[in-house]
Amino acid sequence: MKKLSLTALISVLLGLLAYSAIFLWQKGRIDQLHAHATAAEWLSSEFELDAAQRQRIATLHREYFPECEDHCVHYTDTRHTLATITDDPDLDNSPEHVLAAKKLAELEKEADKRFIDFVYKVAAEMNPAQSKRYLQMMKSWLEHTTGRGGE
Amino acid sequence: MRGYSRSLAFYPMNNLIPPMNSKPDDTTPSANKHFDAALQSLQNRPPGVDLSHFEHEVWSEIAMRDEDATADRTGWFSAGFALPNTALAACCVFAIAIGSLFGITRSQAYDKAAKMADERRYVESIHPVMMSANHSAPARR
Repeated sequence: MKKLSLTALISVLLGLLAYSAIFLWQKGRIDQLHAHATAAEWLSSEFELDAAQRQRIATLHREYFPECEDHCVHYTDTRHTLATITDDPDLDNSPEHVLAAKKLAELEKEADKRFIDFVYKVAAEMNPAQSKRYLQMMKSWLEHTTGRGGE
Repeated sequence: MRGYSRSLAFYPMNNLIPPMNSKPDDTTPSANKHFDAALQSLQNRPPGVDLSHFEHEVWSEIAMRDEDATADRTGWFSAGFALPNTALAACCVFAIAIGSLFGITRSQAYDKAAKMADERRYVESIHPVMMSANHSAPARR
């Protein structure tokens, strides 16, 4: 019985040692690979873009980023205004409340439209296989975030 | 305890049981003659070779059993290694294989999660609503 328990103990320790060694080794490698990767670097490695594609897509990103950030700030402001109105019982169902809610919905719709336009511009720079996979991936993110799929 | 029996196995039995046929207090000339002869025989006998084959076997057996009993009480740890070598090796190999398999599976899940985080970071950089999720307070009033 002692022999059996000793064997089990040694086996469990060896199993844990093997698990830890492999996981920690792989974790270090994965962390090193992903820790400093920018969004553009991720796109480039994920879709195996060549230098010319990288260059054109980087230009598209540079042109789109200020517009996207401006829209993002506008959306954040409107959401904050709506939250303030919602917290005030006196403004419940007031014209300001309705207006802010309507504006937020319009901004969400506009954000989706800009996103889809940009995604199609990027996909146009890829080859057909890359483009198909990229569009499917972005569509699933759009469905996941907004509950609506891009048509 | 260990070692006493083995020592006895090589100790001449004639030293423990003197070869006297007469009573100890018998002082007759005949008894003295026998005593002198026995004493002479003892003195002339080389040490350590007096045991008969049977006596030697008996004491050896006792010594071996004595050592086995001692080993059973104190040597369970080494016995655990010594007995099922093949089974122990098989268990160790199996445990290493299972541990490695779990390590690889966990690493793949970790890699997938890291890739998903990169993907999310990319989408957040191009979707205004998702980008705003990182803005807890309004940036411009």
